[in-house]
Amino acid sequence: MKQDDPDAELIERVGRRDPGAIRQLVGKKLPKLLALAARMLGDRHEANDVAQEVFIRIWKHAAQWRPGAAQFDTWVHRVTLNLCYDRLRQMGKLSDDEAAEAIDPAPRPDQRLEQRDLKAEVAAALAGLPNRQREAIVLQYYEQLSNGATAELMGISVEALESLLSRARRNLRGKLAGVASIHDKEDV
Amino acid sequence: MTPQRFRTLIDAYGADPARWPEAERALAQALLDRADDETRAAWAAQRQLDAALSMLDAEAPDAALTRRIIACAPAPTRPPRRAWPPPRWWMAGGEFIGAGIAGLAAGALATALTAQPAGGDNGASLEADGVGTVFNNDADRMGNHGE
Repeated sequence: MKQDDPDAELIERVGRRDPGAIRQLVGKKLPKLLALAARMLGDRHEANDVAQEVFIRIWKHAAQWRPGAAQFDTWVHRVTLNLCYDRLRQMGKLSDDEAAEAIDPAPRPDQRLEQRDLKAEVAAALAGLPNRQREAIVLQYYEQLSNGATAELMGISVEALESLLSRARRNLRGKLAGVASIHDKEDV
Repeated sequence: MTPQRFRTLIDAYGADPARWPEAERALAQALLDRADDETRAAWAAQRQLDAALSMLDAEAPDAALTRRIIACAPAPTRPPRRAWPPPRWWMAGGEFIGAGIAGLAAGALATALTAQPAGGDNGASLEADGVGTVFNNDADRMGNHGE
């Protein structure tokens, strides 16, 4: 049995074009959707466009939304991810995961020296993951969805999700290996 | 909870017990509390990665994007405007009188048009009698000249 959708009442008001509900929904959902898109795309400008497109779809479908079929959040996440994959395809960044995994994940030492911004380095490591691995990390770690919700959203089993997450984290550790400041920070 | 399962858990979900599946959290936490050095080292490595990932905080949406999105939302619906003003009681009498006069005039006109002249052909129509209608000109304008 599906849980009650915590957004149902708000969406119903949005469907009735209640200006207060529209502002409330944007305030509630935009930060997370934008973060999801930005982490998936690694590009703030593209992420802004995706977030706007997601809301256009919400405005279009809110009046017909019927609670019970799926959680609104699940639907919104799926729409956002689909739009992100469309963008990645347009950007030529949608490649076969296995092929991407074959790439040496560790940057060369000379590249490492050029990367002074630690945050940028983490962002680059995340952006360098195969798309499905990045999707799994973004949903599970950053969006903090449960393993069941993440697996459902990705259309895979929990076991497959765990395998994907393990590979993603192994790749990330490989990409970030030797970043001394990360280790220093953690050892405090 | 076996040590192998614990390793699978932290490899996938990281070092923070709050991110572990709820059903396994207590057992995994108990295993961590009595873990050997090798397991603790594996957990510490995942903790380092969690710390690195946590640096990538999300930027807040800018005000312009928020405005654009709200501007795209459908405008609130308003109650439809009435085409005619609501009836006013003090006009009702005059309106009834006006309607009565108009009805009488229409009746008189209809009688005049449909009355047949004495000795005329009852089956003749206005058109057959050569009386024009407003539609004739329309037919010409639409190009029906060949008939």
